[in-house]
Amino acid sequence: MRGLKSVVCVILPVFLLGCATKVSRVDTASTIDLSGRWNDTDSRLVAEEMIEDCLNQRWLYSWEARNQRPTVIVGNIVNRSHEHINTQTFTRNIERALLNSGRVNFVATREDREQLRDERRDQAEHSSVQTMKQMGEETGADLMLMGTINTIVDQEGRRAVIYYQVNMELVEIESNMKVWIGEKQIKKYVERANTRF
Amino acid sequence: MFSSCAGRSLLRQDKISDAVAEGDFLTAISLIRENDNLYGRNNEFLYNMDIGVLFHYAGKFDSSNTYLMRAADVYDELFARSVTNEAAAILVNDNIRPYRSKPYEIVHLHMFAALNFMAMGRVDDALVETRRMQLHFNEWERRDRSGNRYTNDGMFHLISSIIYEQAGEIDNSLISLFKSVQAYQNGPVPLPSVVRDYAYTKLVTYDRAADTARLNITAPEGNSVWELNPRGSEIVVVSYAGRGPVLRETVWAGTYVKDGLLVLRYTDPNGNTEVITTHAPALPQSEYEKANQGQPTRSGTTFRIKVALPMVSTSTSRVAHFTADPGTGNAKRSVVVSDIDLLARDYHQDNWNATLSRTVVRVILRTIAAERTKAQMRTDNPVLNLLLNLGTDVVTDQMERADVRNCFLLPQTIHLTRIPVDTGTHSVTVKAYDRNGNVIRSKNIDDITVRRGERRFVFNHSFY
Repeated sequence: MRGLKSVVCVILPVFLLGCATKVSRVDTASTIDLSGRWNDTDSRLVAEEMIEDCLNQRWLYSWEARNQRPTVIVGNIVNRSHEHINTQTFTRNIERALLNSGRVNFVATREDREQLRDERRDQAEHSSVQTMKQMGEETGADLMLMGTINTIVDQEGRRAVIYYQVNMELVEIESNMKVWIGEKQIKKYVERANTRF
Repeated sequence: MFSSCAGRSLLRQDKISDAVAEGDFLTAISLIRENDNLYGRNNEFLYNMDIGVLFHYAGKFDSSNTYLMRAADVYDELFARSVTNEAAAILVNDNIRPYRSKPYEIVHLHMFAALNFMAMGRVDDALVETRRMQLHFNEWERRDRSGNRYTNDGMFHLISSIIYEQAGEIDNSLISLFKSVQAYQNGPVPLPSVVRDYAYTKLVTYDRAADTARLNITAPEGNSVWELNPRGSEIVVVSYAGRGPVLRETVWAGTYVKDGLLVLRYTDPNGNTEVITTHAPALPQSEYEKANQGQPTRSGTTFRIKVALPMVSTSTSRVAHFTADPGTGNAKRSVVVSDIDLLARDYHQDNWNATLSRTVVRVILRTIAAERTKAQMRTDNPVLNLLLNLGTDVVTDQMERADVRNCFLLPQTIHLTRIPVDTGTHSVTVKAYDRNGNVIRSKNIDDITVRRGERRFVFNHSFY
């Protein structure tokens, strides 16, 4: 009987472990590629590298030489790839990288501004005159950052080369002058298994 | 257990078809969700595809895409074939393998997803669907050595062309239009004359006359072209008509009882069975001599063969065409851009040899196994032999089932009506006509707001 108990004690945990979903915490900066598709690492790395490049160009030094800090807005990042990429996450990554640099000012996106205007309209009616925020006092952006994500896929059977190209440009809103064009590529080789058990 | 997968297909049709025919798509979705036994793990693709299609018909575009994307993921995951499943399928039947979808189903999956995105005003996402599908087309073309298989779809490229036009990508729009005509010319669905005329006029207008020569299309004789203005607003009515094809099982079976009977049975796709029973040839003299000496004989041994193959079963739709009137009195007639009956038959024909070979190999292996089992169980008692043999036959008989799984929720035909309109809010009256020109069904689609240069997709269905 004791023998049977010890066998059960050894086997049961094995079965329970086999059935349980395994979850472990990983560093958000770690690179884990499961499918070969555009993922969080691609989004973060591209955003950081492009903004670093953007902030180290002549256009910014000319503003700084005048002791001014430009105000930037992130416009549309158009997805022209073959994957449903969450461009909002990418946009947020860019906003964060820009803002944290401390070298540019930042204004809210079009959707956020609409929400804020609604709030000011509401304040005009319901808040005390001492605390309500005024309409028409918004900061106008000097530059707009726009971009596209493109892909080229070369696929044959179980092998594929996926080439992502992210193009971004910074345009002066008043003059429509492009002051910076950036480009970042990622190339992935994906090999899928033909068979599995 | 082995036959349950095949039985599920029929069960699904029985459970869902009525609700779908009545246009009660949300009830059909509830039925699917409430009945776990309708699908099962091997039909994960169909589960997601069916619910995605039903949500699309119900006008719940976001929910539809959630399920359609899952189905697309399942399709991608099934790229790697499971050795275990393939081996089991050879021994048991094809239903034991995960359902991988038929090419035209994948095309419709991405088309529904693209249409959902267009209905939600997400043109970029709709274009992602056209690019994803293009990757599949490329792969299918690469694999097709005969050059005659279905590797492209005219309807898909036509819809892609409209979406590219909406996105302002005129070159890509023209390339898709070219591919659309080419696919219609090569595929089972005939090239609609309106699409041909439209393609001709458009390609010539945009300085691509050489493409018309490559496609061998000539200038339209009448005034049947669709609107050409790339910045013009229009309402695109996508109409679904009739019930799509289903797969039914055809069975050829025979039992030969040594020293007894010969029974042959044929069951057609509608379930009608014909049985022929005759006397089997007598046993040879040597077997009688064995019996007289008290030795085991082969008397009462049964020899059973059963072959089950899938057949496409179609139904007749009452709907011949649709018209759409934006309130101007100038109703536009629809064009058939896809015929799923034709696509299903074409796929079935293309894959007939492969299905037949696999079935024959399976039947031979199983028959050998059954005969060995019978030989091992053989006793001196002929009656007991007969019972044991028949029992073995019943077990092997149950294993042989045709794979009749398909997405039966696709319509029989898909129609397109393009109506040029001014910017503003419109109502469109869509009428379904039978072959005699009688109106079967009329439906108003209200509050269609069209912005400048927008192609607004709306949907209509008559599953009669």
